[in-house]
Amino acid sequence: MKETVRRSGPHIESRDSVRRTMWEVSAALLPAAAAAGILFGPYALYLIFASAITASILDRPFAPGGFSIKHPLGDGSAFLAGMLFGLTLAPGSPWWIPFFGAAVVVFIGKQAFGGIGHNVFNPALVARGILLLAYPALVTEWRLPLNYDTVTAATPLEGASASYLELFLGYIPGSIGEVSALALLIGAVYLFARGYVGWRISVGYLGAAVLTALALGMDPLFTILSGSLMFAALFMATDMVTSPVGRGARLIYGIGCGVLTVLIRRFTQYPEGVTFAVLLMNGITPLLDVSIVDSFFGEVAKRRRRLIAAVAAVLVLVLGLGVGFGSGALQRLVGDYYVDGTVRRDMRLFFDDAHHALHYDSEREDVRVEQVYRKTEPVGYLVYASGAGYKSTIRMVVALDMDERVIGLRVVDHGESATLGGLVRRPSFLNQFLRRSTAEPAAVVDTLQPITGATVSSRAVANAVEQALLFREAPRAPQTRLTLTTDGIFAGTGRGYNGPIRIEATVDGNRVTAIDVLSHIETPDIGAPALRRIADTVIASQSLDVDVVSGATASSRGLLAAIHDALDQ
Amino acid sequence: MSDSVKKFPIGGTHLPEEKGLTSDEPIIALPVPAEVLIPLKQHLGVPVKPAVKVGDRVQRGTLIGHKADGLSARVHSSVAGEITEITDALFPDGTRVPAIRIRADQSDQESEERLEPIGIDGLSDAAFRDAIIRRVEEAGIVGLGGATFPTHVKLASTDAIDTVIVNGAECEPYITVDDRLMQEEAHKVFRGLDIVRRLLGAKQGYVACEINKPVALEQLRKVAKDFPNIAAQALDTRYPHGAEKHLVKAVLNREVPIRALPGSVGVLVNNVQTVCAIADAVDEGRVLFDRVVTVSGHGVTTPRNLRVPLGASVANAIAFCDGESEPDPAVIVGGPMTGMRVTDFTIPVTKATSGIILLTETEYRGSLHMACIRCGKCVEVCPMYLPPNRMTAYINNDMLDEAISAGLEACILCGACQFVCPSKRPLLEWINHGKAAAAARRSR
Repeated sequence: MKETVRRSGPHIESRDSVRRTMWEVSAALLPAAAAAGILFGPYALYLIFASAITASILDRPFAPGGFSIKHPLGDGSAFLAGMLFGLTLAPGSPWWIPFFGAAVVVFIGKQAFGGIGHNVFNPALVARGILLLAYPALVTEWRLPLNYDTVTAATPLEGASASYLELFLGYIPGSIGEVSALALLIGAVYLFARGYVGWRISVGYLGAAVLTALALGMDPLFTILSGSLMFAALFMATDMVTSPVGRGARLIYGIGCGVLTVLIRRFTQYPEGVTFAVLLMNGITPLLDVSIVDSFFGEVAKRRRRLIAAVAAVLVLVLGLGVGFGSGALQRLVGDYYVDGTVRRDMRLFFDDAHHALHYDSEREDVRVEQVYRKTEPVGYLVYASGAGYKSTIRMVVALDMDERVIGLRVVDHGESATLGGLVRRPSFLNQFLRRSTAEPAAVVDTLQPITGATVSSRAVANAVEQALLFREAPRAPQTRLTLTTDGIFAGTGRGYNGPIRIEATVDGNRVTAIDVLSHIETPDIGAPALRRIADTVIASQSLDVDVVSGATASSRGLLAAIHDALDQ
Repeated sequence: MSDSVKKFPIGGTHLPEEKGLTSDEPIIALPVPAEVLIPLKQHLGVPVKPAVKVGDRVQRGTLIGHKADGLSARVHSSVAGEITEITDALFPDGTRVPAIRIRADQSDQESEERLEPIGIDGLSDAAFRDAIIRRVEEAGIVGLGGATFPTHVKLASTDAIDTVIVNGAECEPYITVDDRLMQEEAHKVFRGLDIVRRLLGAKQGYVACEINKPVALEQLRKVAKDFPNIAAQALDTRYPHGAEKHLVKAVLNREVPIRALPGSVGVLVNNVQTVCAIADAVDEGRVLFDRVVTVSGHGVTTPRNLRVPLGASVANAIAFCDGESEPDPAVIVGGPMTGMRVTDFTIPVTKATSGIILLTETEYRGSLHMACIRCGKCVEVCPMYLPPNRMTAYINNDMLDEAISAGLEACILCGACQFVCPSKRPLLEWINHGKAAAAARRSR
């Protein structure tokens, strides 16, 4: 029996334990949960704790030793994962989502990999990712804070406006636990002070996000304060099991998360990139663990070599970003957005045996036309036109045959949300424009069947198609100075970018004294201000011969048409 | 400068200190036991040859083990009495080494055989160097921090040394040997350090001590005023500050290259008790036949600091401290981090024994280990910047080459990783297996 005694030390152990670690991290999430309760009401608390408790219960059969009265919620790891998942939910999520999500967290996220310590991907993000793909509409049902019983709202990442202070405090629509950077920071500082998380992942994440945003010309402060980025940097990416353990590897991992998050936000249809960014980095964690190895104590020369290599890598990166940024700026300067590859691709997509395309000189500046040839015989046109969507410009290409009928079309690019606006890319929507003709361009908009919940984006596509069909039209002739003879209030309608603009013009003493825009559906951040400016200019100059607002040409012209309509009666 | 508190920059952890149990207990002599079993290998290297035979009478301080071929250090009798047996002794790690059993008799246990003190003031540097190194060898002095490297070999190093550091970090919990020596004999510590400093031609010396020993630090600072080239250096309380390379990093910010000794960066490190032994050997002609041992832990009735004759048993020391306070405590020879648990208490105290720690069931580690949750704490605390989690995973899967490239051979076995592990994984045990496997493969 004596021989079974373990001889070697250490003979003492710290009081830390897995259970304690999990509960400490859960405790650090309480400020965020409290903020959720304040901002989005008791239902938010229900979502968080229903997820956490359900996950704990579902995890029990897998725990070593099974159920114990002393620790009814187990080692806390499932509770923590469930809580993290709950905090990512939208305030308008249906009541059953916590149960469904907790099951995904435990069964797919955790136990399918072999239980605690063995999962490759963050279980909470696995559940969030699956819900995002399976039920996009349900888990993006945002609400206004402090006013949560009312209608669906857009998050700042989807185009809603918010001040930095509102972003910091969390007074914005968003996931219940993710909106308040302040509450998250309080929890993170607690964890850091207690020694449960290091700084490398979070600082790497936030720092890389800021730098990437700067390089892409985005607002860095908005980038880190909006959406789930702060939550991910402080709590999701730092998940112990799914992040690397080495110092260097942790820093690189954090940087990877930050860069990917911003790239996904900027270049894909998903307004929020953290879920997939962190899951991707989770996937390469084992690789980082074995490839980014810290040099040992005493490897002085090796460390110096590594430092030089790191500095060189950063220099190359900065140089690369500089070149990329510079060439991007150059391209914008030339103004030629469509590279030849796009035209070549579209040509083959829509025309059989197409041979080449030649630039076709259109009267209009806002569309680009390419005439497509089969050998020497012209077979049709590719018309590139765009329309202003909900939060971005939707660029379309419309293919016309020689009868100038639509034979095909596609969305070249857009920045609408993947879950709603992005649906305009679906053939079932786009096919309604087939066989439209330049003979009656207005019909496109008049008979539009928009996608429910994506009316603005649908209309933008219709406008783009209409503009494409109008490619032969000369720009409207400038209007002349107004000569008014009758006082009174006159109503008029014009068509702006997205739809009708209805106005009333007041004429008093042969002068236009007021222009009231009664209704319009122009974009809030571009079209609407343009209307105000045009109206003011018309009143000031008593002329319809005013410069259109750049970037809002169609809105400007729509209003001018409405005024003309009112005063021409 | 010396008022600042220094530490090594990365890794390490704060352990429960438990030094209060004995830090105020003065060093008292363990009464000579009825018999002692003195191992002939109390040093790093090969055992020495017996210089006596059964039936010989010896004094305290009589040479009983000759220098052997290869690395070794002399062994002296710690009691007056008669040689009864030349046998072997069990060591805490389970190995057996040749040993001499001596029965103490009623003759004078106070007096001792001494060498001639060396008057060092008039000597030239070369003569001084030769005289001191010879004396250290004669006195059988080894590194008393636990490494037991023969000190005369270390002092004969040909590296250009500019700094000598006395290691008083004593970062193991419970142990207060160096603490007490610095409190009681600070002047002797400085004296021993100054002798070594002069011998090596080093321009400066430090006595480094963690700030959890405020009285000792106070004493050091007081005495430092008498020694112009030597300063007291306070260190933060952090395990393992007593590891030689980390001490050098903390005090001088010099990083000893991997697989090299501190001499490669111009530094020589000695333990507090070692320099005391050097001072005693030079100034008083004493040879090394006893050492200070802390008997502590909540499992012992009266925790004490004892001056123990080498060869006295663990049981002798525990009995003098009024025995165990509760049945069957875990008995650790050495510190609770790097020491060995023993179940046979006839094991003798040697030059390597700094403590005998009796841990109660609540003090002793006991949790079952769980799956690794990859929290990274082991990596965070590793003073050698290794990944213990990955290393042990390789070892447990018989991937020895991968374990070695992950740093197995750089590991100093401090145990900080295992101490902090929230999953209570026996990392050090696995690393020991890996080191043994690697050694076995090398010798094949």
